[in-house]
Amino acid sequence: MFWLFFLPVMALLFAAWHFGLRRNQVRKASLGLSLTSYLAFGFLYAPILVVAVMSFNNSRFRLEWVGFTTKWYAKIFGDESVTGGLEGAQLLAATQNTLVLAIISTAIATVIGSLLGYGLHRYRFPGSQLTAWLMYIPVVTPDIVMAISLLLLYQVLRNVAPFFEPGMPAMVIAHVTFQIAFVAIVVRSRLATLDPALEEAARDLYASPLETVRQVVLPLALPGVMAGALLAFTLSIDDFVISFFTSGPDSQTLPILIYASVKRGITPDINALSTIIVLLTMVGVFLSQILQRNQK
Amino acid sequence: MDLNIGERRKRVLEDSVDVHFKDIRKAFGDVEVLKGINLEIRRGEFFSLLGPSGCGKTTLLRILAGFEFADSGEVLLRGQDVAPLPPNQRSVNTVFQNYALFPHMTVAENVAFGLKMRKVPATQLKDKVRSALEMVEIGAFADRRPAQLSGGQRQRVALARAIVNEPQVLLLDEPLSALDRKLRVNLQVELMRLQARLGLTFIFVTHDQEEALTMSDRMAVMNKGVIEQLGGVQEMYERPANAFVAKFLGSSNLLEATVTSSRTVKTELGVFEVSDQLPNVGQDVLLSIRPEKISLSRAQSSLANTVAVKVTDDIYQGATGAYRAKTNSGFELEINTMNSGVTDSNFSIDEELFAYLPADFLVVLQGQSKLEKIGGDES
Repeated sequence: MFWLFFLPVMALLFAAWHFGLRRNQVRKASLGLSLTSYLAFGFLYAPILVVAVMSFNNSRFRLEWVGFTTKWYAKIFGDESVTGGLEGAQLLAATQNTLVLAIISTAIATVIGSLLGYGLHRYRFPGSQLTAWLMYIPVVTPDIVMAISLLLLYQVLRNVAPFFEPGMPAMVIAHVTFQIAFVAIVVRSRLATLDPALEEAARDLYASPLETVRQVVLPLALPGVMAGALLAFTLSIDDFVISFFTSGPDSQTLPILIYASVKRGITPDINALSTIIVLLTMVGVFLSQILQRNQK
Repeated sequence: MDLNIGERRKRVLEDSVDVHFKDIRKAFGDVEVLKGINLEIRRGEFFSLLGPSGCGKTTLLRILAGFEFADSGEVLLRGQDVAPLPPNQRSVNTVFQNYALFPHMTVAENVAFGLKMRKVPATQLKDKVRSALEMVEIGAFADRRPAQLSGGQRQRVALARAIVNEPQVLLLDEPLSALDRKLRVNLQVELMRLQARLGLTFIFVTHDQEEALTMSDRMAVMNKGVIEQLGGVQEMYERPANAFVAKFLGSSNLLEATVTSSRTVKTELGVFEVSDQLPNVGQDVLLSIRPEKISLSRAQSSLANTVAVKVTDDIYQGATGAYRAKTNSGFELEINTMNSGVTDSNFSIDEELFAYLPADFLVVLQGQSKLEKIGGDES
């Protein structure tokens, strides 16, 4: 039953992709290469698609297709008449936590990351090469390693400041630590596309260093800053591992809530919630890409 | 325009120095780019720094603008040491090689930028921007973005953006190099008129000898971090000081010679009379003669300084003709003729002719008595 829904959607996706290839006059791929690509894409996106499809399944527990419904979405958005699945209050709190965490950490990381990106772009100082290199470590470090190291660090710092107790403040700091790198990398690559003479021109035209940044560098780097911020926001929203290790009893986020409830069995409203998160993330990444592409 | 460009030469205030470079040295790592530059640029003159790429001309300009710092030496702008001043506090403005227009601002906003930074009142600012735009004839494009303009129009915006600030000195860093030839020639004339009208000191950096010759009052030819020759345009063309200048500024035939008397030298082409001051008898000298100073004729002449040659190349250039001709000893001469129709100037390959090298135009070069390979690209 499920495959009736799944197959046409996949077919449609493939067709759209293939058509896109043709239209853009990309070098024609051989059949073997096309097939391999389709399979690769299939394995990548099939799980997400399954979750999305199942979120419309009118069954409380079973994996088999019973019928189409949108009630799980209704429930997430506050329809209390729908029975089964998570508790409404828990869901609301988790959503709130997720958003608060994402917004605050993104705001902080965007400021610090942009400054870091600009600093590395503009100045050569002892250790600047090392800093540029170190920037990639949070990007490539596995989340679990990052989470454990933060946990250990917090345990030490807790003796000095209660600020580092598991909970929202600790989570914000944890998220900022990995977000900074992403923002800085995006901002720096944007700055690298700008003509260095622009800053000199501003200085030549009587702008102080601060005015140069305000009037010329920042407006031109803004697409990069926004793209970095969106990327950081998306990373925060769907982070589970690091949040899990640093959260307290009152700071459960959506990924943590989903994980906790999945242990008691996957409920359809979790499928719906996951689909929404995937969609939000996709929108974020998409916007970030658009902003990075619109660079003249 | 009703301005006579020739007039401007009188406007140059001979005694007042606008920019004074004193023994400027600069190295990037192990590479010495400037090896003690001493240079005075007078108020109101159109001064060119000419040299091949890598000769240090742009670095010198950037030191004056404040984007680079000299390792040693002093830069005086109207008598004041500029070393402690950041670029935004120096009364010089730059026209950048690739214009460096702010892409997120309109043409008018670009031009207004310097005034805005100096907090010029809004009403005054508007008038100044308008008149600057009109001066370079781009008033109609005030609301466009740089991306919507052609190369020549961008060049004009860059110019307006600099001159609107009424700087003491305007620095131009190869501003015409990105334009095609026709446009470049037009803009050369416009730049000269503008400079005459404003009475501003222009320092023009270029690797194009023709551009420098056309536009400047005086110029310095630079090579490998030193000034090879400094002086008026005509003087430098007619009397190049050394082999580098003779070759870089236009082209020259270089001839090794040994002094045989106070008026004659011996070369591989025979004995030549030379009007220029010669050193003592027996010394070696290097002579230079411009291709257009040599004349070719079919009739054997009894004049001194004549050599028999055979044409090897005939390069028709429209207004001028360029020939290469070899002497019996195998020495190759470069000769240019005017295609005026008055004198016989239509020779063909393998024709045997007589080349006349007038004594007045055989210039004795300094600092070098033997030919050597000359470095630097002659673009």
